[in-house]
Amino acid sequence: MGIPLVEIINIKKHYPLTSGFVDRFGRNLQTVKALNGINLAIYKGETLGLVGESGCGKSTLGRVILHLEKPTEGSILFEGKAIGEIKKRSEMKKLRKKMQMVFQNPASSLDPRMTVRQILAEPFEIHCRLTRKELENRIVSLLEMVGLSASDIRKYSGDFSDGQKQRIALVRALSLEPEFIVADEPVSALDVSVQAQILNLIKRIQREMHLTMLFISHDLHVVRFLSDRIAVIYLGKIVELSPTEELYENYYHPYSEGLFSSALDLNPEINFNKFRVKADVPVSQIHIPSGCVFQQRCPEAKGSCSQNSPELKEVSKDHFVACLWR
Amino acid sequence: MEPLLQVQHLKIYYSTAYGVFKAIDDVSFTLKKEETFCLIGESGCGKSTTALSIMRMLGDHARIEGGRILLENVDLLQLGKKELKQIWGKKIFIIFQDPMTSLNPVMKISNQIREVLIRKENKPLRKREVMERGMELLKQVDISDPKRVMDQFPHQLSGGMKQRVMIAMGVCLNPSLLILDEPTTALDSTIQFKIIELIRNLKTERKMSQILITHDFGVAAKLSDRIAVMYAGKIVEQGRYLVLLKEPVHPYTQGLFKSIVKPESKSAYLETMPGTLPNLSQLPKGCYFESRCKISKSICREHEPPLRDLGNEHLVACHQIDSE
Repeated sequence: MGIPLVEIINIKKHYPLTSGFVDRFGRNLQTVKALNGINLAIYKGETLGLVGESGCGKSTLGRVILHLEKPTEGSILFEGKAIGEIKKRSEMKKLRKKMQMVFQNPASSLDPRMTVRQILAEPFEIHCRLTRKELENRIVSLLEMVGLSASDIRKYSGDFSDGQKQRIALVRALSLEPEFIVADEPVSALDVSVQAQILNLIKRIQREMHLTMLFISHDLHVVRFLSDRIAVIYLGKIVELSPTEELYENYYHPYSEGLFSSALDLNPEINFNKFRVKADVPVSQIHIPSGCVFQQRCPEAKGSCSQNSPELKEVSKDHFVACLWR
Repeated sequence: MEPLLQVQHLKIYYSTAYGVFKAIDDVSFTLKKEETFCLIGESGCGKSTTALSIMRMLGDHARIEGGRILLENVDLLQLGKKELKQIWGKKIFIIFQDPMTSLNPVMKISNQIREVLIRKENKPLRKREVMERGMELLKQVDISDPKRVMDQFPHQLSGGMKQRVMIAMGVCLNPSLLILDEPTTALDSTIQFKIIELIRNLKTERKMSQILITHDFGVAAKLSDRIAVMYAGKIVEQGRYLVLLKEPVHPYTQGLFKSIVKPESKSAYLETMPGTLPNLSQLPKGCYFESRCKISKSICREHEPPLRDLGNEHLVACHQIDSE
């Protein structure tokens, strides 16, 4: 599989609740446990899909990897070097050039009161020294790369449609030619026809720039379209990890089964496997059960599921599942 | 069979500082009894506006420019506030996308169900009766711990639970017409699955006719009998869902189906439609889809396309398609 570009080692991220219960030392007794021990490697040149529903921790993981938030425990290695141990600002700045993010909501990730020119010039102003002419040329070629034009430079970002904004956000992330991109649900907020255009664009960029990417989504079909491998995440733990086609043919974890069996096909006559995940159980990121994170909703939970927390184990080539029974 | 609802040549325009905004521009369809009719399309197509027009819940700046909405032969657009209050909750009930805004955040669920029960019975009820009937209603939407839920506030419930509470209110009121405006869009897929089952049961077991508004074809597939594809305030194609799925005729419908990511899409690129939605305050003279259409000809730029009947309840608005 090659060299890992990003290594995620035992990452935990807990957010203390500032109001509510405290013990007599004033320590918060309640925390939101967003990430609970993630171990993952992202290899150079691959797109790793990260799938899960709301509250599973996927966005948090994206932010922690890029050091937008510091982990409570664990470390992130980029090209073998621990990000958390970088002390010099200049070194951190160099690293930031190499890894970028594309966010879900195009309207809030672009400042509506900045022109396209200002938005796209910003990365260069922070990291390079370019002449005015060079900068202008670079910006125009970036815009043309995503089907926009030189005349759009003077417009305010608020004047564009969601699809166009997402193109601008994409090209902003690519402007300094990063090695690694975290795309956090980049097409979820878009209409179907616009989504198709942006997905094609991302695919084209993947192929032309040989990017390494973490692609976060709740939509199985979209993830399949772009990813080489897929990690399924639930309540802050990876429950399954597999090459894409292998996962779609042979999913093992009961939660993966739940995701697949609840995916809706265009043809109502097609019935997937019977849907068995318990749907009305209240699930809290504060009160995560001891043992397996999925036990409350699992149709096959047994006694030992509350005692032992399963680790990822290989069930077939490169295919890992965290379940005591699979 | 006698239709339940008939929307005839509905036109809803908004006057804005930039000109007249034609949100709905001559929309007609019929809802039969015990049927689910789906309005499907992308943002700005007018589907939510249509639903809100039926409920007469549009804002003050919306103008009913023309048309009729007949519910059991009464034109809803002609009714005054007093008559509408008789209809809301009794004949028509609407479930919105975001249950947080439909449920009162400062009232416990039990009190909100009390309100609904009082509306249904037209008389005050004792606390015990509210609890008993409320818990019974919550059980019918598969809430396994109804006693606890009755005692909670909406913010203590998940999105799926809140939607179940809304559906329970629908069960209680038992309206002839249920309107669902993107009922599962805000929900995770494993929760959505269950909610769709509940909505389907409302039709099959409780004989509630439904108008479903969605942008998601997967949801439409599971719930609809007939669908109408909307674009720029008009219906471009309508018919039975399976017919449109197997043989979509309008270029926009075809384009939409092709844009959807399917398992087979894996290694290729998706087929996309060029261009974007037209400006609804500067609509072209002829067909609104013309500038993005691969088969358009000069007549399409000059004249609005007529509605063609292809037989089998399949209608399409396009110059380039021949009728049967």
